[in-house]
Amino acid sequence: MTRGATGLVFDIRGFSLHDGPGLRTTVFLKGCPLRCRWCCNPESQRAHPEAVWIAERCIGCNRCLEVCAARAIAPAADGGRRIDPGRCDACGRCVEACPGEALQIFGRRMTVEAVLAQVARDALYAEHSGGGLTLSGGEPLAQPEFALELLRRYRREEKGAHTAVETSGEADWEVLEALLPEVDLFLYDLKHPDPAAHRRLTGRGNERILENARRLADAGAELVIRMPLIEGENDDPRALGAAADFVASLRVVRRIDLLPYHRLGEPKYRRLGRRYRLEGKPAASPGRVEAARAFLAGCGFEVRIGG
Amino acid sequence: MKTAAADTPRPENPAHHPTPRVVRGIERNRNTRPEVHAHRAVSVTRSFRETEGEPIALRRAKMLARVLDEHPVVIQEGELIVGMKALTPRGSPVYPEINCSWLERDLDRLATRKDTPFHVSEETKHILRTEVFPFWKGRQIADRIEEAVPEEIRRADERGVIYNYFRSRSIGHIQAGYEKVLRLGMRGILAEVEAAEARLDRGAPDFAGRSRFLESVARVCEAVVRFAARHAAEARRIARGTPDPLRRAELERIAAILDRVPEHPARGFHEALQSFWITHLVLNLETPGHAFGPGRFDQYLHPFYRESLERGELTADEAQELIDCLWVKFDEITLAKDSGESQTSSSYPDFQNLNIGGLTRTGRDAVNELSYACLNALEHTRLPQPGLSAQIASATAPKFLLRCCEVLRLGTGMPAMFNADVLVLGMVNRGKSLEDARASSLNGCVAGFCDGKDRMASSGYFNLAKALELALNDGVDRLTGERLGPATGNPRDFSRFEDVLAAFRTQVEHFVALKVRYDDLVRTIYAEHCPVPFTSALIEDCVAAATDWHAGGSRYKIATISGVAVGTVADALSAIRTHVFERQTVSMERLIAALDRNWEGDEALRLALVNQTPHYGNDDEAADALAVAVQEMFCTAVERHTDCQGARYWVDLLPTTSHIALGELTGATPDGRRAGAWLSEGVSPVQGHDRRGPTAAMRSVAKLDHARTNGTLLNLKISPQALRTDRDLHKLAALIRGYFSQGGHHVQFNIVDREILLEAMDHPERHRNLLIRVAGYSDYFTLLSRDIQLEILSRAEHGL
Ligand code: SF4
Ligand code: SF4
Repeated sequence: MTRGATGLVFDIRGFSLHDGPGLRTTVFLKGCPLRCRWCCNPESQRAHPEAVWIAERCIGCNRCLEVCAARAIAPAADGGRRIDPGRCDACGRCVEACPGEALQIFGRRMTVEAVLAQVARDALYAEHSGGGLTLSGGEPLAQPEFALELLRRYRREEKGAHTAVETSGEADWEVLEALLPEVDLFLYDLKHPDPAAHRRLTGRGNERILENARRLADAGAELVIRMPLIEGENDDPRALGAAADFVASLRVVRRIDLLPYHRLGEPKYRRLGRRYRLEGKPAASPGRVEAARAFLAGCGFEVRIGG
Repeated sequence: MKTAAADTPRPENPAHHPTPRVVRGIERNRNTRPEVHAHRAVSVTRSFRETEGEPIALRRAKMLARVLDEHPVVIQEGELIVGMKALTPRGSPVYPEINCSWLERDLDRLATRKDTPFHVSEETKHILRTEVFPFWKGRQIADRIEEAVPEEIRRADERGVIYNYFRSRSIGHIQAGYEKVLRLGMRGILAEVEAAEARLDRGAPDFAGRSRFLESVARVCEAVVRFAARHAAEARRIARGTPDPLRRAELERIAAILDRVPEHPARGFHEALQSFWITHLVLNLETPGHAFGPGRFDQYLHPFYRESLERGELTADEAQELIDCLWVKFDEITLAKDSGESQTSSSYPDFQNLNIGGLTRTGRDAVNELSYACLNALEHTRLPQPGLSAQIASATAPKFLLRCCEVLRLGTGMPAMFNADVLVLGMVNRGKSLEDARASSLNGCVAGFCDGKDRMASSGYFNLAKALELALNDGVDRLTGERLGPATGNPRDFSRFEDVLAAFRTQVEHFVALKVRYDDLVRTIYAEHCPVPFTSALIEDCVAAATDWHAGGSRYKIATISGVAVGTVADALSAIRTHVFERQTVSMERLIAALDRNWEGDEALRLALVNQTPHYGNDDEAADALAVAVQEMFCTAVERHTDCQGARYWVDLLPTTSHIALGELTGATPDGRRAGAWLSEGVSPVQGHDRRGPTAAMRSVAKLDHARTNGTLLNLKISPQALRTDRDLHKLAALIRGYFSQGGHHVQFNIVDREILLEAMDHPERHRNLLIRVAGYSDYFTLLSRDIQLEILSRAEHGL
């Protein structure tokens, strides 16, 4: 990869507490091959920049209409604004013009240098806490060269500081293999142990994901398994049992993080003009979360809620 | 004093819960409505009637002696530390000699006012109206100030440019030498007085005055001994009628302790705490000063604590119960304040800042087992008083910092975290010896003091945002149309950004000079009419130099002015620079017109200024540089001055809650703020303008020169999810260390609880930066639907 090549980033956040040890800076890469029904960050899924309109902040001044050369933005029947994704090229002009911060673009092309310059600002806090850099997404493996370059350069510049990658594992093995030497910790998703259920819930089967997990484990990578907990979908004893069996079979994994379902991401779907497929589903009940925790702890894992 | 560093800290406290008597005390405080009592006012008034014509030093000494001799002694059920400021917990005496006009005016409204209401019985009203108020007409300190203040200063005060809070309360900010009382007792101080008397030059022209001062100190010390004796007698009286043998024994012990202290040096922990408390009460009864700080409590009390434990007089649990009982006593203390004053610092708690941790006089980690016991006391009682401040130095043991973080997680907002290294640096810069600098503490909310040797009177606020308003309006108040400041030119003619800065500088310099005149005038009145013999007895070198504390007798003296709204001014300047001069998206003409109309019909412009301007608090070099420039300008203007007692002026940047009251008097500002809205607080970024998380905010704030100030205040919000596990405590500790290693002075964390979330629902504009994070997800709270907001509210309640 040539220097100065870019990746699609949708957020860089300092003071990240639960994406690995210490105080971390998490870089979120945009684009994901899966479509988990419960995803609370739908703005991270598509592999291109997206403009969104936020009703709560719009004052109806129509500046955006004036500046949009592509005529992608228009008043909607309900009095709001609608952005036509077919026309919008995410030029950002409307965002600049909007006084209310009612328009936002998710996804910016950034160079490795630009990302690292931002990450470096928090270096002092990472040093005081034994923290570092976490790549998340979206799916960071979906931008393999950019991810690799970012981690390699970070390691070099910050003298071996801690790196982590949060991934669904849905990628070619070669991608993971290349990252291996640059990653201290994989936060690895296990959404459902059963291929058919996995396909139903996320749009793809899990064969490659499970295979990659095994190969990472065999290669000696440090792995923490993260399981979203969706009531009635993957928290029944059978699914949990199968998941626990699989994780145990990896032999090297000691810790499982449970991420109980919550519906806080719902409004984002509306802003993106998309349907929320779990509409009306209540947040995980504490009783079920505790049952899952107790079960997995009983299997000998260190279980954390929320990571 | 024995230093603590050699002792092994023992943070493990076996008692994780307060004992029943402590719980009852907490409930007693909570269930007693705050009330105003007349007894002190009556004693003061009668005393002053009788001493008419005598020298003021003696009159004041006789006044305090009479207050103490007539003070109703109340010992409450189950108490181990006794003595009350008024008849009831959270009762307030009246200080008519300073200012009772406000009370006369508000007497019938006091019980129903919005902020900090106080009950007043009809009997109290009657006594105050017949016996007290009439006598003090024209005699109060406030009247004398009123007469002396020139029109120009009065206007600047009324319009919210400068504020002097000594009109309703005396100067205060008293960091008394409690340690001296524990070590010497009143007898020891009397001996000091005698020695000083013997050294006086009988032929000197000021001999009579100095001698009278020393006599006044002696009189009050004797009165304090009688005060303690009356408490001892009352304890014995109650003991006689107490059937329960355990309680009877406690009361007899209390009586025995009061027979001895504070007259004599304390022996053991219980005596030391009781001696401390009587001292604290008498200080509180002498003046209604701002902020009586217990200071380095864990340092001067530790030897007594050790002694009692080693001699087997107390177990650690028993000692803890005594401390918890003292916390309940601290929480009883309050003061009924003028409605105006109660807006600039609106709360019942009265700034009793108790410090733990920090450095020893030789620069080592000062944390000891008592430091931990104080944290336990906060955990047990969860009371808002005393204000607990933890001093953290590079040398501070990680264990202590982590325990502070753990207590912080309880959500009381305490302990406030202070950078001891920067404190020491600033103290040395302001002329303290290195040893004294290390022995210093925080008083009031965040100001640095040297215990028992200092006078650091922050004399009130300076509204930087109002100065900018005047700079953008040729010196005329935008809200009233009156001329307040010098004519600095029609802003429409400003052709460069530097013209704005120059006008601002001129306004700042003008009002700083005015503020200094104001302070001098007030200070002189206090020196002449309000000697404070007891306070003087406890602050070096007043007795040795035979000079009252109000007249400048302390070893160290500085004066400070509290700058308010650094963040608001930085963002306002950034908006002007960005939009008027760089992008030229709006003309000055148009901007000024919009400010004049308070953004009426200009919402799009207002939002553009809010949302399309680089803001202080996001680690943005250009915006942060403006905050730095504002501080530099203000410091330079202030540091030029010395007060009438030869003390140099310094800046501090702490607002208490004045950013609310002063905001009400400030017109619309170019950062998009509406007229009357809050100003930014301390050195914190404008509410909602820091969008890049706490580390970015801290980096911005750390760019200011904290060591050059006598205190800065940074408030951060942190969500409970961030502190769920013990590992998270390490992360919070790292965050604090990180900020301090960059030179930050103070940080205080508010856990985002129900209250904050509810406020954010009502005032989304103040909380646009409030990020809600739940594993893997985060969004701005104010963008969520009500439904989801309520869900988060319920999660916050359950600590999820
Ligand atoms: S981002 Fe550009 S193309 Fe898309 S809606 Fe805004 S102005 Fe139009
Ligand atoms: S510019 Fe912004 S505020 Fe104005 S109509 Fe468009 S989205 Fe709404």
